[in-house]
Amino acid sequence: MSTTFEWPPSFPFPPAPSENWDATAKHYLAELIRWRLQFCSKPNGLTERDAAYLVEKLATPRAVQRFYKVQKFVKETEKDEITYIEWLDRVLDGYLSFSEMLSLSPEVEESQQHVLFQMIHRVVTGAYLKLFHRRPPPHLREELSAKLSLILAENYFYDTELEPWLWQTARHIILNHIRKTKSAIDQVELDINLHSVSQQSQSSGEDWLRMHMQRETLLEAIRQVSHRRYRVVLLLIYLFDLKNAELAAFFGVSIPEATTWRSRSLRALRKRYPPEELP
Amino acid sequence: MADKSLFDEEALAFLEQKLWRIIEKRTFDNELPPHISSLLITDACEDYQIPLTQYAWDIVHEQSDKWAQHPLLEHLAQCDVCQMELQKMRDFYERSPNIQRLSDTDIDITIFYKDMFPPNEAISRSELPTEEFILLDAGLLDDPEGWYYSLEQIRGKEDEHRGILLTITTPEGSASEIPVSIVLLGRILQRRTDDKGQIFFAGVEAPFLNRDATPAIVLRINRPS
Repeated sequence: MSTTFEWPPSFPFPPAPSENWDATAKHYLAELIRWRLQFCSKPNGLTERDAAYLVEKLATPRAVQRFYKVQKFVKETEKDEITYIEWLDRVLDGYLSFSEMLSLSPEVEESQQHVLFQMIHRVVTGAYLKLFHRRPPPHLREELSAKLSLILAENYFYDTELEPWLWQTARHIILNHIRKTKSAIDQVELDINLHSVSQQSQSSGEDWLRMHMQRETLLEAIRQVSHRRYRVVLLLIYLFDLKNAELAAFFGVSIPEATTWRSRSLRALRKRYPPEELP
Repeated sequence: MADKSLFDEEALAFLEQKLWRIIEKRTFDNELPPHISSLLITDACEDYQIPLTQYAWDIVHEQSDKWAQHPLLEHLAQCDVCQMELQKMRDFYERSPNIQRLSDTDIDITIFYKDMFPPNEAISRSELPTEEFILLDAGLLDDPEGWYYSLEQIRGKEDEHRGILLTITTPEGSASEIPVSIVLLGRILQRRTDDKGQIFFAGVEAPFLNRDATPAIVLRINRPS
């Protein structure tokens, strides 16, 4: 452990997120880790192999990006600054606490791996339950757990408590999965039996022609609305007379949001179809 | 536009295609749906859009007496924008006498996610000996007087027994032949109550998104006039 370590270095450190780490930067990081380990609460038990692993993990653009993300978060939430050394201290403390549990190398006991996988399963199930109030189907739980394990290996930098990080990441994974697979709307189902068709009345030939022209003009105007969501909202109003609360329930958004969509959609339509220009 | 809904671009395209297909199937209908009017009112104040449309229709069809005490008239006296919209809608209805009036006989019931017991909690609170019925919502309708509705999630063992059951009762008994629409995530279903005053929306499961300000289910009950 060097006591003559110099901070800050004479070159820009850490390298910018867009830059790769050269040998000098990596060597400096290794020295920096050894120096900071002196101040860790329980540095004993950290081997040279661990230090080498940490250098490999932290001497990457992704790790630097993580540092800047944490720095921004601390600035916004705590109105405070966090330096690279302070962040590194967090990482080292976290590594000393969680690395044993997270190590998936063959030398690690099976029971230890089992604890981690159990934790991941528990978090995935819990996060899913919290979001949807039901348990994920077994195949989905396996798929989501595998994704979480992979992200854990790649993106966890030991700078936060493990379990809250797992919960938050699991939530993101689940929501992304739902968005991508569209499973929430696989069963789009629309009936048109009551409100529209039942309103038929007898019309004369001239009335029929006028109605037909109005209908075609209106539909053509909807087709010309450039934003797809607005077109969909207009069609839902045209066919089902959906009110704001119904639009909100249909899309799974808040009523104010649905109100905004409705109002923007109607404005877009009106530009192309003002009532005074109806046939 | 920030999109917080679960419909991504692909899902929206699918939905739009489906909606156009429904419209194409009805090409030979000689009617515009009555709610074309609600597509045309845009600049009127949000709270008055629907009443203003109805009022314009009633003026043109000489049925406006019932509006004498309505707050819309007071609002119109103070709001130039709504006055202009009213004039536009009157012109529109005069030129199109066969356009129907927007209905005002519907009762809307909005159930928010935050007000529904999630299934697991509902089961533990339920006094029923079975896990098969979960009460989602129930209450009195203000009008017609004494009408009561309940909405239950049925979780039968067989697929065909799973769904949402709506029951409407009146002081005299059950309310039959009442048109009801139910709107929930990605679904709009319309049915009529049977002799027992019930509608079973087979295969429909209440979604639980855990979003506070978002309606989970909206029921529209077409009140008998």
